[in-house]
Amino acid sequence: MGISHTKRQEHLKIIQAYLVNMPSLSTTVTKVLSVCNSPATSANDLNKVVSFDPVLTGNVLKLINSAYYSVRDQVTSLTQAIIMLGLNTIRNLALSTAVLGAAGNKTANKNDDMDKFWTHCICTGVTAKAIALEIGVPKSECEEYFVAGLLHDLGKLPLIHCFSNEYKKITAFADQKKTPLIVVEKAIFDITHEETGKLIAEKWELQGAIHQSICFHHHPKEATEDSQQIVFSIALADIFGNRVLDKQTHDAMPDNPIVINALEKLNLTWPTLLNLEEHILQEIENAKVFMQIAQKG
Amino acid sequence: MKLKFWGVRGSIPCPGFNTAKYGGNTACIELRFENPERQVIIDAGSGIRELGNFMMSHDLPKGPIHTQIFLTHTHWDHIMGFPFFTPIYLKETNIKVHGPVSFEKDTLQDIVGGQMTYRYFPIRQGELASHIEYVELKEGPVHREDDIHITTKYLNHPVLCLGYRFEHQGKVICTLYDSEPFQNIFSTDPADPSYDETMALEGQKASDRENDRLYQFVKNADLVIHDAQYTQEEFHTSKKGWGHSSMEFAIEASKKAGVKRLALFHHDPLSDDDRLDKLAETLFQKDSSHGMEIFFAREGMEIQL
Repeated sequence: MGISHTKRQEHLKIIQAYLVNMPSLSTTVTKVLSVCNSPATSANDLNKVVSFDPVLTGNVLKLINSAYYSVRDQVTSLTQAIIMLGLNTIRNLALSTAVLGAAGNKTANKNDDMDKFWTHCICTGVTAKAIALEIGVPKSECEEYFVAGLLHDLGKLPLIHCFSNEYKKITAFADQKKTPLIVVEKAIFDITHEETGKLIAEKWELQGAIHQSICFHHHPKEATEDSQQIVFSIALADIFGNRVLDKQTHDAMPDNPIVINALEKLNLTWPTLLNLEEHILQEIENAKVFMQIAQKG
Repeated sequence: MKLKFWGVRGSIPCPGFNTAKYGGNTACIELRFENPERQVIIDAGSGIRELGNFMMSHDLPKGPIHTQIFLTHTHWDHIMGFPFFTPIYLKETNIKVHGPVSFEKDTLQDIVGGQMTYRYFPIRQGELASHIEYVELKEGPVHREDDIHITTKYLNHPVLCLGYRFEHQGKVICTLYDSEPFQNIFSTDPADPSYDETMALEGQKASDRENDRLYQFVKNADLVIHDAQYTQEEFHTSKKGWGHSSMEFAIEASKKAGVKRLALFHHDPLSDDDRLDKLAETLFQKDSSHGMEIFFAREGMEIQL
């Protein structure tokens, strides 16, 4: 057994233990608790609060898809899941997940990382939904793009939580050297967030395009044929969303094969994406206002 | 198939002079199959105590008790009789308890058997002499033995809850409790600040589809035992979201599904004998021309199909 293999096994063991009781995000906990503890919570508010928390969204989809045998296709819409499971079950599920997050080990550093992570998830979801509308996906099917975007980076959660300091260095190094994060993850951890994401997707029994987006958003060509449109949209949203957040949209189109392939696959142009910027920023702002999260840059 | 109601009440047992006719025990229904001889119990509300006593005198002399309990859900009124079901204390007894569980980590055994812990009850689950096996159920076909086919359907209730469809020798009995018709719970008022058009439309589509699936599930059944805890007026005034149906809805929906006999079930503790008699006069006469037999389920009532 090589050194690297041993390290991978050690990391996997720690990650598996974390996944047993995966908590809600510390960023969203306060709002989740306040909405779900109120007996007068409206379905619209509940839908929003769940849809802004990737861990809760994953848990709701897991519950609905493991319970409803007869639904031929996976339920990928939160609206549908809330109708089927009912407010009470969703509220209690949200509370139990949020309480885990509230009780979790919180440090200022980790909270800051989680806020950034949360913003990136929302941004990718919102961007993916905007792309879906742009390429003519029917409105009723656009929520799946949002959910796939929201969940695509779930695999980072165990890495942020279990190896906080090490992972901070990895992300800083990847930024500094302009090297893809998964390349650095592989070199240092021998495990990438796509791989840890796959573990979560399997644990939550997520299938179809959402599963594929979690596993292949850095390798969209490897996704199954029927999921490629969504996975390419998520891959593009991932990159473009970051540019929006970093205020780099006015730079030239990145010379990145994923962007080039995605634009071609989705029959989109870079200028069309640039037109979505204002809408994306407004949606992120709305989410932050709803969740009462202070703007941080 | 022969069916007997041992408990028909919802929420909490309410024994007394005012409920003596329809009965005060909570949900428990017994189904007997003749060929081959099998017994199925639906729910373990307080009515199961009397059923257990009956089985001790009627079944035990013929040999060890083998039975299957199908729980619709784990709310208290549907499991509270379990510790008082005498056959669980006999070494020779063999019971399979089936039921749905929610997202919590507790197993069905933890939830049902959890009533038998030091703080609630003098005998612990671990001390039971009988052999009890727990089977956690999802929606779909769950049993297909001895020419008895059992299928489940998830219902709209504030915890995961199953309806059952029993098919045997061409006859069909369904339970549809505890069950509220699926509702579009999202705001449909564009003036509401939280209104979202997509949410409103998709919510309507999802609730319509789920209600349609519900009545496909009981389509043309010979007997449906339907949640009817409230009147329509009570439901619309203050009981929406409580997970129960109105009597009027149960009648209309069952009629549309081509049901032959409808037993209204899970009576509200406030519905005493006088009230149910009066409601029967007004509700059932109105529907006498449609060919569907309608009645309030009554403790001790037996139905042969």
